[in-house]
Amino acid sequence: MVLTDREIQSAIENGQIKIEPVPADPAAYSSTSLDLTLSKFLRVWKTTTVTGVDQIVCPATKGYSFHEFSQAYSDPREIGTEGYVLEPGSFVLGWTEETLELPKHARLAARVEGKSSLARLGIGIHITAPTIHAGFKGPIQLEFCNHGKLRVKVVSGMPVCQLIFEQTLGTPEMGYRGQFFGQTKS
Amino acid sequence: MITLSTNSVVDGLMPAEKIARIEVAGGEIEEVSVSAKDISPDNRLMASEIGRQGERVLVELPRESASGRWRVWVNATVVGA
Repeated sequence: MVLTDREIQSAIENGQIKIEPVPADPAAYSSTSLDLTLSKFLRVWKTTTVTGVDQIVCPATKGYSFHEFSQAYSDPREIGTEGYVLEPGSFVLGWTEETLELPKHARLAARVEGKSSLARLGIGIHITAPTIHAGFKGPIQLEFCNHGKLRVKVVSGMPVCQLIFEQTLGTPEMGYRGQFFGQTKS
Repeated sequence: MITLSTNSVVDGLMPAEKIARIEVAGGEIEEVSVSAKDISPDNRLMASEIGRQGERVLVELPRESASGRWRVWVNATVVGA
């Protein structure tokens, strides 16, 4: 069941949704979603240009470390006042300015979705991983991909994604501290 | 809520993020990018206990690990309050 704007605001007021800073502008809400804004932090992937060298990542490799890989093959960027241009075909990580927390007992989960204003220009903000699970806390990572043919500039503080909140049926196991683990139907 | 001892905690891709490495039962290392709020001041990773079997504890990590796992078995010795 998707929460409406009134239910989202109510959930924020009673602590079922913790968001910091709380969007002050009522325009951040739509009937069934809440807009979040882009922070200044980006991570830009590098690609090798050495002839004959393949850049292959295999996350299934034993001992694979995303941290080591990302340190070697991406650069931190901060979006300045001039903004940041997403080139056609580029893939960049970003984050929301707001941090979100969904308490385990809140019986809420969320999905991060793009905004049509960016989508119509070819900009996607997530790649098949939209679920914000119960218990999540932190800023939301955005996977920017420019699928279009235009160079598109993004600016820190702009509405960049929207959250759709959904009520869960029941409380997840971790919310019960595992008290039902191993139980079988009798 | 429980905490897990970590092999290392380093800065993540942005200031609010940390990368924690934990040893799972069997000796393999799981790496998980988490909110800095999921790391205690003494560098322990906050997690949730799902269940126990003998000396092993099934825990749910705050985020999906680099290997794609949310739940991992750890030795009870790495689990704290």
